[in-house]
Amino acid sequence: MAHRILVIFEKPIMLSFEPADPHLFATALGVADTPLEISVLLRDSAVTYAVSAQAVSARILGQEIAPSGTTPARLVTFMLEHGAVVRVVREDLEERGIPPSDLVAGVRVVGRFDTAEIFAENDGVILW
Amino acid sequence: MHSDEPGPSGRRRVRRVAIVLSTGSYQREAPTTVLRLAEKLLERGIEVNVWAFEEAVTLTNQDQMEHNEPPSLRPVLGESHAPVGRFIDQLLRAGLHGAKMDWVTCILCAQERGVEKHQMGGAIVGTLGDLWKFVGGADQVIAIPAYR
Repeated sequence: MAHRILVIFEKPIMLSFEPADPHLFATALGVADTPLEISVLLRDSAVTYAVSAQAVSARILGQEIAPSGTTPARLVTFMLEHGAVVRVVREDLEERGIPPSDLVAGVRVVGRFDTAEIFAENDGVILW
Repeated sequence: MHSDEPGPSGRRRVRRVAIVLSTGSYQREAPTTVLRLAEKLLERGIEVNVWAFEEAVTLTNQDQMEHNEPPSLRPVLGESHAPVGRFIDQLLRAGLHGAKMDWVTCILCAQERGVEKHQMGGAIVGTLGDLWKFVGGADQVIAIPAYR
């Protein structure tokens, strides 16, 4: 039985008519509502999910398509509040010019070469 | 070309735009971009012809339903959200009283996905021939690739 699950995000999805990336809120549901020990690794362009100062808004014919204003950062915060470990890859941050000070509080920064050990610590890996 | 008259800027006036869209929603931003662009074009009196194929034929599935979000996620996701089809329907209706928008879904793609009989009112099930008629009759063509 798998108990420790690592969920990896690589490509962000924004403004898709879902309140947020469906993979992200599916993961948040697993964190909040299941006994599984789920951790998250943000790498590649998905490191932007951990940037705290996000704002989501798009209007069509005067109507907001994202009325809840849900940002990936809010879901990252939600998962942290529910006990999940959320990591981002330092090199992917650096390549995009994102300083660690811009991240949601509580997100851990790890090196690219640390990720193999993180994989080994888990029973299962989901890559979105 | 629909028109080669110059506009105020000296550039050729655009009166008709063809948009080729091949992505569905809920995992991609392209449909959002297309709808926002179509709205602005219609506001300026520009005719919009959307040719939807591949996964984009599901955007006009009339059976899309608004649903409640999972209870534990409502603090972050809200109670519910509107499906993409509602916005397409409203843009098609907006065209009744201004510049028009035609939305054509590829019959082959719709049949493959079982949505041919589920297209919303206002969406037209068409053929690849319609794609090339739209392209040939447009002043500008905007195509968004499938990975967007």
